[in-house]
Amino acid sequence: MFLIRMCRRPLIPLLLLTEFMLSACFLSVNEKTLRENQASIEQLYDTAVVECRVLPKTVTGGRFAISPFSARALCRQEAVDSYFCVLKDPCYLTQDGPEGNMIVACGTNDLAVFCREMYVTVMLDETYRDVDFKEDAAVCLLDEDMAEELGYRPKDTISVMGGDENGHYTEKAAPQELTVIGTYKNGGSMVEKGAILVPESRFYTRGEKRLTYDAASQNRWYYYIKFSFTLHPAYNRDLERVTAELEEAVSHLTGLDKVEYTLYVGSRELEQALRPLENKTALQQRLSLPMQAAFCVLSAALTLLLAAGERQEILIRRLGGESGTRVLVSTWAALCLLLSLLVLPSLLVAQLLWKGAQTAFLLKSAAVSMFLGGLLLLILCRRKLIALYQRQD
Amino acid sequence: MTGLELDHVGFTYPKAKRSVLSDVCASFAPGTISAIRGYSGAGKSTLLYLIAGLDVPTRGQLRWNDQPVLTGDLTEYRRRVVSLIAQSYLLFPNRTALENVCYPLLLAGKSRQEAETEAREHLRSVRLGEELYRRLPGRLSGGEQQRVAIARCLASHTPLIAADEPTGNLDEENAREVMGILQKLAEEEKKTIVIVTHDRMIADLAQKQYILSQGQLLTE
Ligand SMILES: Nc1ncnc2c1ncn2[C@@H]1O[C@H](COP(=O)(O)OP(=O)(O)OP(=O)(O)O)[C@@H](O)[C@H]1O
Ligand SMILES: [Mg+2]
Repeated sequence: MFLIRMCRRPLIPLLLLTEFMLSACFLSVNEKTLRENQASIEQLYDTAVVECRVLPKTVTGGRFAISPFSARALCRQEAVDSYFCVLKDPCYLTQDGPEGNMIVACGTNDLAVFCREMYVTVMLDETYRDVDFKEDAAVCLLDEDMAEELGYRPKDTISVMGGDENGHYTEKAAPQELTVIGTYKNGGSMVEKGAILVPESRFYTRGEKRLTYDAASQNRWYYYIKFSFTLHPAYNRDLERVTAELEEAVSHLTGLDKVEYTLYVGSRELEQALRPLENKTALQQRLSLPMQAAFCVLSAALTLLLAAGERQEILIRRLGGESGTRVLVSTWAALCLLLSLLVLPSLLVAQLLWKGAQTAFLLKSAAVSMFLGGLLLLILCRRKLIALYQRQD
Repeated sequence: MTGLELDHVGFTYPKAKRSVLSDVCASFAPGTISAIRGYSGAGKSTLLYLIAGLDVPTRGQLRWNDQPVLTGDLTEYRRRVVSLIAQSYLLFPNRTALENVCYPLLLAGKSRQEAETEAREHLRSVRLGEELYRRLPGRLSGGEQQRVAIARCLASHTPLIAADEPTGNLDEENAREVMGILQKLAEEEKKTIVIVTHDRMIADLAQKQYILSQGQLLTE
């Protein structure tokens, strides 16, 4: 019955319905995008790989060369996940080599990155597709032209030994037998002409078999011409501290010719991706509470209007001889029922939009409205009739 | 059946310095219409509020059929003894004319069916057009609303009717008609009717006339 009467003056109930709907929509969408942004931030932190490079401090500071000893020390830092290096050493082909010609052995621990960084195209023989330069394999790749000139084909074995800086044999290093697994084409000037490409491990002292002719000169001739490393994603949230530590470590490095080094941390991309997201989530988080408060106030205000609209009804009923308590209870019950009905669709909307995350808020907001509406009804029902009547007239 | 008696009734509004009514003595007999006149601000409405049970006197006493109207039991008095015809008609804004008249009948415990049948009779007796029964008060003219208010007053079957400027918003013809209805009620149903009015012509239609002046009720 009261619902029929409500429908006769539906403006405020409709406004309330709209208000509940809007608050469900706004808050749910806000919640949804907030959660999604937070998830993408997590994802970025969890998966982004930050690359760091060690660079000479001054551009004119000479060639890049740091000793593997220093580089290893850097890599022992817990935040460092993996590294990439290119090292270079004079060596000599023991058979069929271009006579008196010193060749350079170019070593790396990651062929794929090597190709990208050094502008080199590799043509691996099918059998050796799985060869991993990170491992200790006795393999090599020959310059395309040199392989043709010397008639080497994949699966052939060549014998290489360390040479000195003048391109002379040195008896101090025993020859290594390396299997040719393919050829490469040099696309730029990064790799010396005719260099033999070997895994990094070939340079290490391993009994007598090494591409460095003696331990004493290792520090002079056995050096990285490129070195970079990546950080473990677990440290992405702590980049500032980790970077500071690594910078400190790098600042103590000195390379050839007393060149000093500095660290370039490639966190810009991560930051650029993160900053807008983080700004957005911060804003959304800050906005959420005022929005809730505003919606709560609005629904309370509308409910108070609705309750105030019952003044005449209350007056007539009390004048007709109904007790204040009876009028209060029935009017408040009707108000509560109406609010419950009005809030229902918005609960559904909240459920549909974002897992009903706003259900609690909507119920709370409706409850606050019921309470305040009830309070106003209580005041109206307890007021002296003469005062109520005079305001009427 | 002595009707309504006012026994040295005084009233002061809360927080007001001066009392509006100081010493009102009068008795209103069943079957008569009594009209109260007075200058504006004399306290006519205030006196009627007390008669209608909106409040209790701050001094003195009201008696209905020799029984004091108890301060604690105004609810009973409002329900069984008095009904008010207000200047602003005081109809439920979101109930139809018919529903408005049904209200006291339903409150008295009648079924919806019985209430509607009787309500229709009352509406007919105040000569409201049948096509208006389902209208909300907002869409009725002042005169039509006044008739609905009178019909509701009839439906509440109270022996005492208090009317505050019942014809204040009506033209002369409508006013006379309303007075006609009230006269009929007094004569046929022996109701005690007290009306407050500014209008000399309306007052002249009443059996008894009073003037309220300086907080006292004087017979004309
Ligand atoms: N709620 C109130 N509180 C204090 N004083 C009031 C209140 N209501 C009315 N009064 C005062 O009581 C006096 C009588 O008011 P009342 O309305 O009874 O006059 P009235 O005779 O009906 O006047 P009118 O002819 O203009 O309707 C006035 O002086 C008015 O100012
Ligand atoms: Mg008045």
